[in-house]
Amino acid sequence: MLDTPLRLSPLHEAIEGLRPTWGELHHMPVASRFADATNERAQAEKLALCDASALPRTTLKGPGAADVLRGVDVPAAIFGVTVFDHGGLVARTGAAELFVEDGPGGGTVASLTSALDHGPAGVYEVPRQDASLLLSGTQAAEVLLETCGYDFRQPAGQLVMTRVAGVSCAVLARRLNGIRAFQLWLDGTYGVYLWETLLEIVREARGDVVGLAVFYPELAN
Amino acid sequence: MKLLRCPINGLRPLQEFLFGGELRDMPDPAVATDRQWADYVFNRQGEPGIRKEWWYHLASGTWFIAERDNAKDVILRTYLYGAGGQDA
Amino acid sequence: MSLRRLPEQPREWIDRGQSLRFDFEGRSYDGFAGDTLTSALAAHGVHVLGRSFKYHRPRGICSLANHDVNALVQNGSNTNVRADVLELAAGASYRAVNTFGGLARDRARLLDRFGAFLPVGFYYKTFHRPRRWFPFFERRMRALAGLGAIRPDAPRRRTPKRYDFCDVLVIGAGPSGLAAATAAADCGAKAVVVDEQRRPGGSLNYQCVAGPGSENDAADLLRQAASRSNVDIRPDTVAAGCYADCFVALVDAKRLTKMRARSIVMATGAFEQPAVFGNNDLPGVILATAAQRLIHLFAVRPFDRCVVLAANSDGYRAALDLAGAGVRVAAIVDLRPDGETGALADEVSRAKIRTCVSHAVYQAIPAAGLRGIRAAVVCPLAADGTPEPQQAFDIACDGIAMSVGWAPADGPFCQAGGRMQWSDALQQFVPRSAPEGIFVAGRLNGIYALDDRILDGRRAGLAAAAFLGLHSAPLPPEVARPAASPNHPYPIVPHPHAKSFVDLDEDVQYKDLVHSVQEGFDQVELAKRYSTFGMGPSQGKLANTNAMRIIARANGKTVAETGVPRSRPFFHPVPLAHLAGRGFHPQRRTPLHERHVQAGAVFMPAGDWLRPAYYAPEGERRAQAIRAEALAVRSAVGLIDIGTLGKLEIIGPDAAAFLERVYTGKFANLPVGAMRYALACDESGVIIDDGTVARLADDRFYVTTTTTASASVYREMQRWAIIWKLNVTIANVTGSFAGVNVAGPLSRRILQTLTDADCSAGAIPYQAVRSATVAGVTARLMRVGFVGELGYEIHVPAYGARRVWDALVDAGRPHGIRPFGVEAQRLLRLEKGHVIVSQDTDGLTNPFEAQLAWAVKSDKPFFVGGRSLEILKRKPLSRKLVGFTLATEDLREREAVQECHLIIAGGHIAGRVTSIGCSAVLGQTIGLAYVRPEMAAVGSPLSIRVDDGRMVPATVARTPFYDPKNERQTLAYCC
Repeated sequence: MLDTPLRLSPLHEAIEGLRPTWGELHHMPVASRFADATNERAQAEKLALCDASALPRTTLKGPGAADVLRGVDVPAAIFGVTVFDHGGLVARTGAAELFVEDGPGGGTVASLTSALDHGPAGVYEVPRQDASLLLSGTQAAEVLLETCGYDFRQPAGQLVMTRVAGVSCAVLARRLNGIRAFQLWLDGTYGVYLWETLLEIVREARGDVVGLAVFYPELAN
Repeated sequence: MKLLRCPINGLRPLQEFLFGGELRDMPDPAVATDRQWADYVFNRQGEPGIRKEWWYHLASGTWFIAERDNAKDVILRTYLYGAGGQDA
Repeated sequence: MSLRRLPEQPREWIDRGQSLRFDFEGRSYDGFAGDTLTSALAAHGVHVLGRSFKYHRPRGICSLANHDVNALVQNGSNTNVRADVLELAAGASYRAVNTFGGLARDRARLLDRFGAFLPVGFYYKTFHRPRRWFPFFERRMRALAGLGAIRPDAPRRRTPKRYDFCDVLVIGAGPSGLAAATAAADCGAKAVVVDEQRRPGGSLNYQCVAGPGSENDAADLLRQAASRSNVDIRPDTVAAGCYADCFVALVDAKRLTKMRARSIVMATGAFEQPAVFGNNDLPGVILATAAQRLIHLFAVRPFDRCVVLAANSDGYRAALDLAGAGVRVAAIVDLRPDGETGALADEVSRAKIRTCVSHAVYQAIPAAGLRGIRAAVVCPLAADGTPEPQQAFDIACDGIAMSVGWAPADGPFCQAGGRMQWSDALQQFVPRSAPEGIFVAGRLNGIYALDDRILDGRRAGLAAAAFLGLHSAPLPPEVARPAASPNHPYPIVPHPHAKSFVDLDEDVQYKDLVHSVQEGFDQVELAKRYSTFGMGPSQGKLANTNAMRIIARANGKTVAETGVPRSRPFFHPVPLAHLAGRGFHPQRRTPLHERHVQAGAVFMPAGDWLRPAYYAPEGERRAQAIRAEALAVRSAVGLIDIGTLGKLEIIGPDAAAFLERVYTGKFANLPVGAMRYALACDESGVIIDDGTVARLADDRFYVTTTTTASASVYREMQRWAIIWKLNVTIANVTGSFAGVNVAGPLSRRILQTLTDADCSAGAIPYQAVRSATVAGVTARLMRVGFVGELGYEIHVPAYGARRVWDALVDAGRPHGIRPFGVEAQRLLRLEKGHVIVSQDTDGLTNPFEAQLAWAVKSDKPFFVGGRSLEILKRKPLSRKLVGFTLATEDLREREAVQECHLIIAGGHIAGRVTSIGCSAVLGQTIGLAYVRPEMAAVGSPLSIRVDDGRMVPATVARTPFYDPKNERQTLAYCC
């Protein structure tokens, strides 16, 4: 009987070795925590790295993309972002392109896929299999200063497409569960490289890995 | 390192971009002589002056046009193809 | 207290509470925390600090400002450390570099006597014939004229780089820099001030040490700047290089910081310049500011008895400082015909210091063993400035302090794009034009009086703030340059016999420059390379200006016409570790990477990717592993990770039209559920990529490209879509989809166990594409034939890749499934004669040369490269790609042939091997090669020249070599 999960994060093996407590999100194993909750939160507030690849996400392309997202306040400016209470977000990544991500409990992405099956012509869903990282804490900007030529110390409030450690990424300054964090999305095939590179820098600055439950308490078990 | 203003992403260092060659109008292949066609394919304008160039922002996959004085290495303006007015 | 140490000085940098012991050249000394190695030695009267580069003459302090490298020391694995600025560390042990037998008894000092045999450019004139002796001479010369020794076993030190940002970068924390930073910060700008010295203040610390209560007290300026929360002062930080758009490399002990400023104020000051006279390089001949640094910063009395050579007021100030420190100032020798007038002159005469107006120092008389000097030979100057040595007289002294002028430190300014022009009035270069956002202040701007420098700095700071939109009031008036120049136009009095040095780093003398011009190297950039002035570690800071004057005079030209050599980064040498930083080398991996590792893969790089070349779980040899993998595919079933292939989705009403225009083939008529080979050319008709196009729906295509071209093909498609204004969306899903190719006669059987979809030959014919769920994961199945067996490419979303791989390995285990790598795949496709773009094609290959004419559909109205292919079709071919087999049984010969070996016919190059492999299933060595068209007929003989020059015979063969009718991959029935 095959027990390999249906979905695995690009960073799965890199994280497995760090011995987290595992949870699951949409058939993907999620490292929900590495230490107890108080320590994790304290670490996340100082400097931490976390794998957020498990969150559901998709891209919609086409002039009718905004209409498919009924009832959602879609940003008008390119790279504008609307963040939802449940932790999800909608970002405009092009004149006719939207990026949608759900929090763990959100169902927007799933409903979009089914809506598009018999939906309007001219709206296409483009598959995404990102690696996504959260770099959190008061010292997070320092790590970015070592790896990125964009000035993140004045966070833009919008999505920034730039290069981090030589790899193309989308970066957003956010606040999750009251903790300041930069979320990075990148091509999953560069995921392990960026994870290991950032983790080395994070550890040198006395930061560490944390689980996703720090940012999305609904994942705590 | 030089800064370049992507029309979509704003001012970024040059390392975020890729140079895409001279902006050229393609002659109608059905009408051009072999010589005219070869001139289009192989020859480029290199003399000092204001050049129109293709540039690509790597992280966002954005193509745009830059008008650059290649003698002074000063970029006069950047715009999306079709938004500049003088290209086809 | 040591020999030359003074009582406490108001601005001293030493901490008398912390005494430190150290070794120099095997002898023990003590100094204070805050001393540099040089100052601590000077306090003990130790003046000889090093041996010069070429002549191994003794050298001592010159600038004490890091503008010269007379004192280079080695401490363990740290070499070429500058003793003048090296902070003393307890217990450290130092040796001078480049000596033979130690500093005192350097055996190479004999070279000084052979100066006549070592004229400028001597290594171009002698020591290179007979030619076979040159390597010997070269090694000897390199050994004699060198700097420190490196230790290859020194541990690697990581010094990660960092970006930084600010509104105004002020380079130089002297009075003008501090004033600029304060003014800019008061307008709201975020200012960063950098200075290479250990503490900010610049010349305020040692030159204008005013008494208490002075308005321009250094401490006050510094306090004002430091008290602004938006001013960040960073001492010990060098602006090593200035690049476009205010991008500056800041180097400190720990790291290199890449600072992007929005504007820059250059307050880099000026280098005090030496005079040229006989023996002007000996220990004891120093710059006046060096003497002032010794006194004020380190509380060291520079000499017992000295002569001050002056051509400006600064020299008189220095003479008073020396007298105040207990030095007997025997005379001020003033080069100027009118000498000094004013308050300083009065103070000097009140101090009873003799002045010799309109005189020059002609020569320094060495002390015994050249360890220092014992007298200065002074002679009068005639009205036109020529020396009159016949009336020379000696003044006994152990030191000469020179204050003859300045040269602006314009390196950073020029690197950033600033232009300088010569000012005859001021006898120095001054800024002529600056790029946007760059401002100058202080001595760099030709301003010398202290009050004026502060005003000039303030103005520059406000100008920077105005440039940033933070200041709208009109700027204060420009500060006027001084009427009297502090720079002597020609402080050069060459001695007929004693060596008169212009560049101390490289031991370049006055006469070397004159000879350079005589030998035809008369333009300053040529004279620099020929004589090597300005090419040493200090990069001409103290040599360029005098060299320019000498060359101008030798040419009979003006200084303005002559100029100085171009200045380039770095301002000071930068450790290589700083430049290396962490070294980011992005690497791409498919989601199956760890599976390959567990299976014993030996990886190879393919662009950014890592791919398994072959698998050797039990340590099998390469050739064995490849052979076994290939045989497994032909006889049973194999599994390869093809996730590195480029993958694109082309979607939209114009998707088919778009593909018709991009590729050479036809796709508008491709039925849904079918797939076709796709060939792409550039506008000149050269092959740039190949792959497959599969139609998923009327308006949706799934395209594969080669691994290395995926990013460039995507980019070019994006551009074409913009230019052609087609209604099409292009998505790069290379990283979103993983892919596996299960290939071999048993492949269908294994696949069927993992999916409910009908995998029979009728349901999935050759070159069909289907959607299916495989092992629970949504997949795209494509029946392909690249390796020439029944096979399926299974494309799945990346997150699901491991699941599908594990399922295939599981289901295939009873059938002997094994993974195969890139090398086996290369061999299998070679057996089928399939071309690999950029291995079997090069930067000029068109489809007609590479057996791909069938893929070009010229009856289409337009496709990229079509018009050029139409022209090329009418031309005769110059080469053709053919298959060949080696016609030799000799195993060594067969193994000697490699890719890129040449085909030789009639003594000329007739072609080249592009692929070669040993085929177990055929029992032959086969390959592909370009040959002249007349040699392309099947059965023609070929000669391949291998590495040692031997010729290996081969025969042109028909392709495919294996299964010529392609029956195995197109299998209409399946087992």
